[in-house]
Amino acid sequence: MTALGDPKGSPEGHGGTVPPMPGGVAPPGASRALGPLRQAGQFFILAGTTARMTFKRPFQFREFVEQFWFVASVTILPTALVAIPFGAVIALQVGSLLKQFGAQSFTGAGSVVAVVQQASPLIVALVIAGAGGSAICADMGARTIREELDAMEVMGVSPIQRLIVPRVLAVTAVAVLLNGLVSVVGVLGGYFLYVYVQHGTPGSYLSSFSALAQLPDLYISEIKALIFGFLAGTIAAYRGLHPRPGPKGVGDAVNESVVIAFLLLFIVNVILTAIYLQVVPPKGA
Amino acid sequence: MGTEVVVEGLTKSFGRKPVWRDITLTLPAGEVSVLLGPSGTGKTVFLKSLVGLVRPERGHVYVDGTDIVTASERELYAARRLFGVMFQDGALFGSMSLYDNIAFPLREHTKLKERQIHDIVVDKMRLVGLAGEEAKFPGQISGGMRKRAGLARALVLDPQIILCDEPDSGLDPVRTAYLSQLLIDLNAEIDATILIVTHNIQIASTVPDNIGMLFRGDLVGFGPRELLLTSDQPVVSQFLAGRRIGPIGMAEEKDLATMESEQAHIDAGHHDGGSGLDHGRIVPQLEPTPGLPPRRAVRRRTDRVMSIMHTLPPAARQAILENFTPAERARYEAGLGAGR
Repeated sequence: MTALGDPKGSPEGHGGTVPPMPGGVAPPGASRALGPLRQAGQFFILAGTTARMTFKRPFQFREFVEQFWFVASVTILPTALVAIPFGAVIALQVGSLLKQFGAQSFTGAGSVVAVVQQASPLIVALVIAGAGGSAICADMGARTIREELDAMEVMGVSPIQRLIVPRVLAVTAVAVLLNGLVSVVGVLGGYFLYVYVQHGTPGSYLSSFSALAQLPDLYISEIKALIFGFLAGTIAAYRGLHPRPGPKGVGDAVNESVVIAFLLLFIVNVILTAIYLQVVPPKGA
Repeated sequence: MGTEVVVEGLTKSFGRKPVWRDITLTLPAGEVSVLLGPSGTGKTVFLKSLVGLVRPERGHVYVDGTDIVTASERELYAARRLFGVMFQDGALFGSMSLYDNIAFPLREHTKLKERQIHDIVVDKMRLVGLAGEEAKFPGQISGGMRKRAGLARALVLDPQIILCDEPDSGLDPVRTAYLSQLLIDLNAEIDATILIVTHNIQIASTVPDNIGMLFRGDLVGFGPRELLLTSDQPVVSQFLAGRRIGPIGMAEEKDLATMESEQAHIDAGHHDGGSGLDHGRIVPQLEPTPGLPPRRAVRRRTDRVMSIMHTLPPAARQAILENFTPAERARYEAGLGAGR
């Protein structure tokens, strides 16, 4: 059975909306305490099913292209607009800090560590979850409450394969590609600020850049973007498949999907960064 | 011929709130059945559990050898190919035109050429009276049209079992009558098993071969139409007459004090809210539109009903006999003697 097979089957999983029956003997805390666990379990089932269905023929190529185009069109401009000031502010902050140490010429290195490894994947994920994920969640939520997904399942078509897989893949792919864009824009923003505002020399920026930056920095950046994109897409799909009934339920689901995605991204980021720092030795160390 | 659906001991609850418990009934192959019940008695949930959209806690639903309740995902998707479901609001895909909506199952499950798909879709749209509306989107048409488009989509794969969730809601009485006739004609043409979930008395009294009723989580009864239409159970007769007097109240529960005060009002001459239609007299069942083949289900049903005749209450027996055609009377002469 798929994760969405029984959308109304566990209303207590959606925050205990069912009042306890009079005279009920079961401790009411039990199901409430298990609620988040059940949610997490359902989420993992959906993520697993999505991953599995990705390889099931026929792949919905057309839907994928449409969704890719949609997510890209709503995220490229905001991401670029966020990336430029973000790269600049990091360059400013790191530059002024390093100036106090008398190591201003290492601003380039600061940019690569901060922008490529941290800022870029997070910016991408936030914009993707905020602009792309919310739209996907709203779309799926509206389809769920209008019974479109039920109808699709009854017609023997898996909504996960047909709708969720192309969307999650589209979000993931856009995240990976956007991450490249943001890295470039962010580093360039830092470069221009360093050279034209802080009056550093282009040579020192570039040489410190290549002194400390290494290819694995880029790999982890893209891996993060990939994981964040997948998470943002799956969370949006999960909340969209399990809204509380009614239009307000869909609104709440969209809201929750963005908040949950944001929280989860930062937690996962800490874990990935910690693993990366353990696995890949810093250059020159 | 359609496929039989056997439901055994089906029980479902949401959280700790039971929806219905221990439902046992059989939808006879190729016959039209109606499941009645006041709003909020879980009729839609029952219909959804027949196709595996809702998983009951206990019980079985056997369709063509598959138990829907315990089936694996693969078996479930295979079994669902037998079903055509007409959802309450049509459940059309909002992003597709009516044509694409109705063509969807064909494109997903068959290798038909676009030309053949076109022929089938146009034919089904004509059948439900939507010819010429192919390019419209679900958002642009009325609720009744959405329902009919939903029915057309449920029909394109020639299902053996058709489930209709409140086909009448949002339709005027005339359109409801047309839809009733359409369902009977469909049954005559493709001999599919049909289950209609509704609270519409017009449909219940004219369309089905069999009627059941859900009330407060229990199946009040399920059997030949005459059984429920002549039933003297308070719940059934109140529901069929649409009166306020009886066990069904505005809220889920109705206490004795409310019932007594209502009865006092009626005794004082207050209107009981009923339509005034006498439920004791059975309206004849609809017949297929002239020119269509006769419904093969009629003969099968009469055979079946005759075999359980001795278990039915006298009022139902009498109603069945009164509705016999001379030919049927002759055919079942021997059985009638034994049944008395």
